[in-house]
Amino acid sequence: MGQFEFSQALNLLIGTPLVPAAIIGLIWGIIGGALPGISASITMALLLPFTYGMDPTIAIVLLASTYIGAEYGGSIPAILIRTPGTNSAAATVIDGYEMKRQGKAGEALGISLWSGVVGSLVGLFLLVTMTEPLSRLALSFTPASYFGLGILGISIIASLSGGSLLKGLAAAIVGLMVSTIGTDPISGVSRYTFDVPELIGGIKPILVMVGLFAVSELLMQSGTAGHGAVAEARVRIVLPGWAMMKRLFKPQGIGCVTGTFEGLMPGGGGSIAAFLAYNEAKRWSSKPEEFGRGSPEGIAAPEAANNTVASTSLIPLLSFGIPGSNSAAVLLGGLLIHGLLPGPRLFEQNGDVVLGLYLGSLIATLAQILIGMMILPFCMWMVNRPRPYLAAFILALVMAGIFTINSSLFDIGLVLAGGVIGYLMRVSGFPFLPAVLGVVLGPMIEGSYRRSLLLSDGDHMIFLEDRIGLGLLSLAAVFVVVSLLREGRDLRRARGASA
Amino acid sequence: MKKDLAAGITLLCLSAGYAWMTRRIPMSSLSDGVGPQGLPNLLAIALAIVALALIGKSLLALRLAAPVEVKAAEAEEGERAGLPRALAFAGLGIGYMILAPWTGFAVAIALMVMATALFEGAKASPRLVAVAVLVGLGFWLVFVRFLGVEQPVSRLIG
Repeated sequence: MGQFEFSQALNLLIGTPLVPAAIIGLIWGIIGGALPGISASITMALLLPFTYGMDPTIAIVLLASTYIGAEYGGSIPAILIRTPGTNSAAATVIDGYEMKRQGKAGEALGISLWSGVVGSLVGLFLLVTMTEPLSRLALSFTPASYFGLGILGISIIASLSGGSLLKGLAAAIVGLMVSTIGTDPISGVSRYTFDVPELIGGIKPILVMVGLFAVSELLMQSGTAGHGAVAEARVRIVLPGWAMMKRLFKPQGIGCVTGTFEGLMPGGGGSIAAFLAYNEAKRWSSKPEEFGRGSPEGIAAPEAANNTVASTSLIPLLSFGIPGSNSAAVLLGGLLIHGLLPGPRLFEQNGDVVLGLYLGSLIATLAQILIGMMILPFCMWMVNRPRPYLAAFILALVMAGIFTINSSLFDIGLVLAGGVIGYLMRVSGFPFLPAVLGVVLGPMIEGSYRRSLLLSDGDHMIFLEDRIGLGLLSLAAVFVVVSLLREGRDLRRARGASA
Repeated sequence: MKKDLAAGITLLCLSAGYAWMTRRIPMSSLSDGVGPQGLPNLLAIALAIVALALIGKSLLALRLAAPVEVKAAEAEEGERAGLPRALAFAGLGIGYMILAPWTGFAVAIALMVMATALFEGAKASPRLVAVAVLVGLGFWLVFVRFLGVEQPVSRLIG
């Protein structure tokens, strides 16, 4: 770190509310993550509208710290009530709840917390060292390359985030269609606005995110029994001692490696990383027979993995603007709200925001140990609240938050409509992330497509002549073809089974 | 599988509707060669192709699967709210949109909290009323008074 960066960091720490923002974000994240059914992305999406009027650095720090907190928070109900607070904490249930049954709930929470901190620190180190060099690649990008990048991002997410490529592609195309609503930036013509003045400016990605992630979850859970109240005795977090730390080193390392690969791979996400890490830790363990029966290693590996993902999934986001997970997509929404475009120019023109993000994440990660221990009783109290009251509170938060964006009740209507569409998508097995990515990347894809054709006098060969663009489009085609072949193989297997 | 078929047909209708609306986008002298209809036309075609593929795949899957398997797959949905219930929940939000301009932010939030909790199975009790009033008042204090965030103002009270 140079002298300039050091003084800039000091200014951020002393002269701005960065530290309180990191702590508040962390607390909000832990509480949100601890509530079953409220994932990290929902916790962040609920906060997103309130960042509208904030300083960009503080807003981004708040969201990033929320992400870090939610990854730990998800393990609290996973260990105590056998219900993961977030999807990525599902693997923690296996040994975490078993340890709790053996009267070692405090130790299990301590292992989860410690492993989360280790995973976050490793992920943060990779984020700081890898992001800027990778983003420099984007300096040589032409409009045709950006078009290729957008198509590649959508193809990867559509292939990996759902299970069915066709459903992923359909969701992405509908997302792109939504992004075309409003005034065309080049000709000034209104598209699909139905003479509704509120639609002239288009539909903001934030409304789509809150609708799909948060409101659809409320609709899905409406009327369900929930997890039920838990009569839990007082639990105190017990951090691992030196001997235990040494034992956890290997599974944590496995978790960090898995989390790094999954974080860099768009569509991977914390849940896949956590289960992969769990399996690998079991395979490489000297006591594999303990897995499933309350093994501390069975908690350390998935928790290190999903916390590593929380940082490494920001690498493709900040370098190229391609979010690898739902939570990274919400963070991208936070950047776009403040007019910040990811890529090399973000580092050149808004270096303070990036530095703030790194510093805030570091503070949140380190503070996690103390805050995690202090906030546990409150989390337990929240988890025990009756579901009807929690649902009512979250709906009130959505209503209040969305109105702050444009002071518009019409936006609330759009979010509710988004929630109903999200509900239908979930019921039919359509993934959200391609749709969100379509809305977010739509303007970039359309803008670079039209700029490319302006440069080539309408000749589509420009996309094949640009070497980077051609490479990215070829890669996108490979992803689509491989996924189609996989779907065809599954169908043939089904035919074979029924014959 | 039947859901995939229904989804495919819905998407096909959506692509047709989108294509029809794209044709109604006016031309502009300021437009580039591609025009404001350029990408939307491609999207409509792409969605139609994906929708047809989804319909074809689901028809094939329905032919291959035994009736028992289809029923089992559809029964395997886990615990979730049905569509009428989900729509009714969304209606609570619409109720807030209608109420807020008349009652103002705090009262509308309190009423919505009370209605939502009752809808979700909470018992009508003094505790529920107290919680709703506290949330309404708390939200007003935090957002309007402390954060200075604009929220709906009552047309009646001001």
